[in-house]
Amino acid sequence: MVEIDLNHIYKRYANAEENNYAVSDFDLHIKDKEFIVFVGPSGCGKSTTLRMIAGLEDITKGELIIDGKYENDTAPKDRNIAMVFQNYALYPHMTVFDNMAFGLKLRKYDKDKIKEKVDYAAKVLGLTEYLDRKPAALSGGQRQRVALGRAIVRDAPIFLMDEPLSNLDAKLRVSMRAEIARLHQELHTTTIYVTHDQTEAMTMADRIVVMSMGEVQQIGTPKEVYESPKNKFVAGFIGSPSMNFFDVHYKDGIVTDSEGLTLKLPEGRSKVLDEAGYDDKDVTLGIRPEDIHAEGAMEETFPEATVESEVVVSELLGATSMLYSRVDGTEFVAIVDARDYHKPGDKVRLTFDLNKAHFFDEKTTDAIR
Amino acid sequence: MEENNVAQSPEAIAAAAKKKEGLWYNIVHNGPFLLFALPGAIWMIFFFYIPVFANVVAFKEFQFSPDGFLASLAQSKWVGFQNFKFLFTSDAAWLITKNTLLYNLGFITLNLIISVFFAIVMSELRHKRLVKVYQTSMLLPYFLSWVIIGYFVMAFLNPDKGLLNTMLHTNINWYAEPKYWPFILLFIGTWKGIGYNSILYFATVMGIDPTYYEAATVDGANKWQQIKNITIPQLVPLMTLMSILAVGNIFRADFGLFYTVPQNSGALYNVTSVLDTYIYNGLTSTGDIGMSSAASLYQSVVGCILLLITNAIVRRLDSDSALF
Repeated sequence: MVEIDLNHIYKRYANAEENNYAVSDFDLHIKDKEFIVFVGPSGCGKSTTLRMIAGLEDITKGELIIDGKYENDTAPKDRNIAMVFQNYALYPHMTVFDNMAFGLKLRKYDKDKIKEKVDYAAKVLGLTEYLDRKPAALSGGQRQRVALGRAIVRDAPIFLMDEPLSNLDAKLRVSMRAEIARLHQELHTTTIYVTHDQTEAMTMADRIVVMSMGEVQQIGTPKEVYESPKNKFVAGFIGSPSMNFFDVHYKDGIVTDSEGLTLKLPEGRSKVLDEAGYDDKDVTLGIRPEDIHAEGAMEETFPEATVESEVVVSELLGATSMLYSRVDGTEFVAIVDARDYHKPGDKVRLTFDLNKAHFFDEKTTDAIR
Repeated sequence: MEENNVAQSPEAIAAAAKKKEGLWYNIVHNGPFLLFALPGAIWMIFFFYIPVFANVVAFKEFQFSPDGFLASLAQSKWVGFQNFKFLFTSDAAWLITKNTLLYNLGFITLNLIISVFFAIVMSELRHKRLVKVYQTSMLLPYFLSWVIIGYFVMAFLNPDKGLLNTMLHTNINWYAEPKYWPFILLFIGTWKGIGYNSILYFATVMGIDPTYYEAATVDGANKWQQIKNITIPQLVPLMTLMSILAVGNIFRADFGLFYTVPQNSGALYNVTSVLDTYIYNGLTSTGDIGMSSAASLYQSVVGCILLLITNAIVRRLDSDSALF
């Protein structure tokens, strides 16, 4: 049973100015056996936070509590954590066996125990036949497995993973993603995983922590973060392709943008805006590409949210196709069924499912609910 | 017609391409790069390769001719291995060989250990400006000439007014006491070269991926364990390379150190005579160019053989660390 509390954690680097924090007011409770993913763009502070948990960076302010104990000043080796690094950090002069056994040797395990643990981890990860090889003789995926094996043999209750898949090619990344998820289910470790890839975050996490500019933007399950983003940043960062945003003016249940796009909102959505006091005000309308449809049935349901658009670029992805379209001067992307694929220059009628639309305050960028 | 349609094997295509890319083709296509290399190549040819032919002097009883070196060479008579025989049957042969080998082994060992030690110490210092101060002060002796260092040593060891005798209240005639000189020479030689070697090792330590240390820290390694398990293994290729090169020069003693620092004191010859000083003394006192050339050729050939042997051993142990 290991729970982690990050209580109002701040990080300022030694040469930074007084109020220039790399991480600000990071507040999170991580439950036992939970798989938490820190996600955000480069430089958002996610790796710094992970390194503070590992003890590789000092905590400037705030408290790190692991298993009920204050751990701000505890040495990394005494935090009972195992870490997987982005570039694997495998010792090049050691064999796979020695790499995995290194931490155990330092902890003075006897040889038989070390062999037993390494053999078990190698079996779990399919590395048994590579134990005598050096890292240079392994593929990227095998190296990543060795890095995972090094963490597994330690029997540490907390796994920290710093962008462990980012050096792998796309196909291998997908299979390793599944492998890490399987390992988490088998080993029941509390795992904190850092990535800039929102797909990894969505597919692996119990809860996602979305970060930007050193601050937590939203903490929630993948479903919560996807369906109810707290602000425009989260809405834009989660989801691929990104959510379409339109700067619009809202009045009497209708939104219009400066380029001529006019859409009538369903009653439920306009009621929310009215009650929040946004009538006759500028807001940002956000709608995901998959909530823009080309089917005739949708047009019949939402005739006043249907526009005649011109396809600018189209991409056929197999089951679906992406239509980069334009209505007057307004551009957006829609993911439609492959049957509704159109060539560039084609005219296509697209319907916005505004029940799934999101609205954001133009100034604060917070979601309007 | 049919023949032309037959698909060629990759080997045949490669062979055809190779044939097309002959020597002349390569010279023309790499012209600009070859021009860049030309000044260096000319310098190497004139100062390294042409002088190699002068080694024939070692097999001649060299007689000076007023018509110049080439005429002297042509007029001198061949004596075969006579000069070598004379060198090896002289009393000094064993002594100079022993001195040269032992001193150089000492330098190789001390330089390796102390340079790596200082490189690691510097890499652990967090005060960057302090590191630069240490680097500069350690490198300074490397740029001092042996003549200046000879006078520094004299300031310490002068029997009348030297710092050591004054401090120790002794009256040792340092320049007449051979027993101290192996240590003095080893110390001075190591002191002069340590800065340069340390910087090479320091640069390598700085290039080690910091995540190795972070991974080791998380694994529970303390500072010493990190040095033992990460830093030193990462330095091994450079240590091997430097050692191979040093072994290749094991028969080449530093003339300045062995001649200038002991002030060419005759009382110290037993401990300061090395191949280079022997060649120089032989040349200046007897003017026997043939024997000096024989000694010099012997030095080069043995050095080359040792380099090849060491490299072969290293290649067998760890092919990545071998020089070639």
